[in-house]
Amino acid sequence: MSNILQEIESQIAGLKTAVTKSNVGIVREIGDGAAKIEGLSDVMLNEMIEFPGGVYGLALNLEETEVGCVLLGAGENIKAGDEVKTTGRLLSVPVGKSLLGRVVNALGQAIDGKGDIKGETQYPVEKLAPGIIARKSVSVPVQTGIMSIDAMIPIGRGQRELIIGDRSTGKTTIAVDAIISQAQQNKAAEQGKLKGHKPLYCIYVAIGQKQSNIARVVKTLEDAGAMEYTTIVSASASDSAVNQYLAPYAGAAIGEWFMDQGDDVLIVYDDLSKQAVAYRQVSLILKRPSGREAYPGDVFYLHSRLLERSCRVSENYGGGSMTALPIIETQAGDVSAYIPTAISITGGQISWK
Amino acid sequence: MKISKEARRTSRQLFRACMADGKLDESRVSKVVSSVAQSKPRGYIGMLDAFARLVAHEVDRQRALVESATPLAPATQSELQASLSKKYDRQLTLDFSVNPELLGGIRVKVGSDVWDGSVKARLEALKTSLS
Repeated sequence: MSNILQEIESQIAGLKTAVTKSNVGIVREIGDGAAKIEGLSDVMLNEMIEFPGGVYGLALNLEETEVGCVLLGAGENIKAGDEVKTTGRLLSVPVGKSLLGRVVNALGQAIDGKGDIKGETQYPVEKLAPGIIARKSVSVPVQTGIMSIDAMIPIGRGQRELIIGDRSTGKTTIAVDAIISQAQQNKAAEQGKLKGHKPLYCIYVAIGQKQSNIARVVKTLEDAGAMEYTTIVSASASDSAVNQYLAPYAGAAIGEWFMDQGDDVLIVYDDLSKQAVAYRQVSLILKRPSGREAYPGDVFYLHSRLLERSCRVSENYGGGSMTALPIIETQAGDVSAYIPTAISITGGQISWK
Repeated sequence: MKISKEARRTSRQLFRACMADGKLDESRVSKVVSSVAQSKPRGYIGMLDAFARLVAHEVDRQRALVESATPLAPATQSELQASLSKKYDRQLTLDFSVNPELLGGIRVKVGSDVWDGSVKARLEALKTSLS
């Protein structure tokens, strides 16, 4: 009985309205998915900003009197002179077991038509990687199911292995095969055929790909019965550059939740060269200085901070792990181009010739 | 308009020179504007633009826009003035305006802070929490 009373009281408290304080700004310029906003004196870096009509933006540049902000949705109805509000929230995505078997976008919203996703909790998209105290050396392998890899260049749980090669050489195939193999092993372990096997959940992040390719991967995984252990984060070529830039971090946040529960995760970023291109677009629109091949100065940090988030943590910190398989596409086998060399913090490379 | 780094720096220095004990000195501002307009240093239009923006920002900080559904009584106005100045720890000038769309209550804007106690905002908050 007291539970019901408490519930009613909390409901009533939620409905009470008092004087609210908010921090507002005025849109001065808008275009190309980016807005310049005057005001917003209390805004934080990477904070979500609420535009009229339920559109959200991300504050990326804090300047003397203005804030440079990118839009996370369609901005057709936003005009110069509109009032925007800070939300006090950093960009975060829902995380939890309910995401397995689902296809979500870079903001963690379902796009597979199977209903809304209510995660166990929300995780910030940008998070610092675990420090040296929390980490442990890699001791358990990921059985990719591809004999030449497992025999010659085994990948450990918590490692990072770059898959690099020209277009249509089979980079995605390795990753998808590895995901399917994990599902088979997980199932065998559930039936008691594999002793001492810890389940390995998979996250596939598709960045800047054709929708048809993503649909094909989903179909392949469903046919192989691997979707029930897999989450797909999709930012296709028709999504905005901001969503393509954020998708890998959203995937990493979803993986981190499993890692914090002590589970093992395999995360595939397919592919990071397209993410770098999307980030270049965002940076150029925000008028940040550009460097080689017009990439901004922090394009190294873009990938290093992402890949540093995959690790193996010690038992005191849950004992989970996140293994990353980033994919990079080269042009005519040129592995010494800018982005392929920028992504050099992986434990090894699988190179396609 | 894109202005050079130097012009931006100068405009910031000019703005700082116009401040006297944390407040903007009007006579200094007009002096700065007239002397810059007369001597016409390189990129002076951009410089004055940036200067005007900094001044507008500061003026906005010192001013509170008070909107209410009906005109406020003078006693309420002075009470509001005192409590707001105390809250922000600086002397604010209040601009009062009447906006019947608020239905009731008041809405105060200081710089980029908005304190919304209007009936309209409360109804909207109720609407979002119930939907």
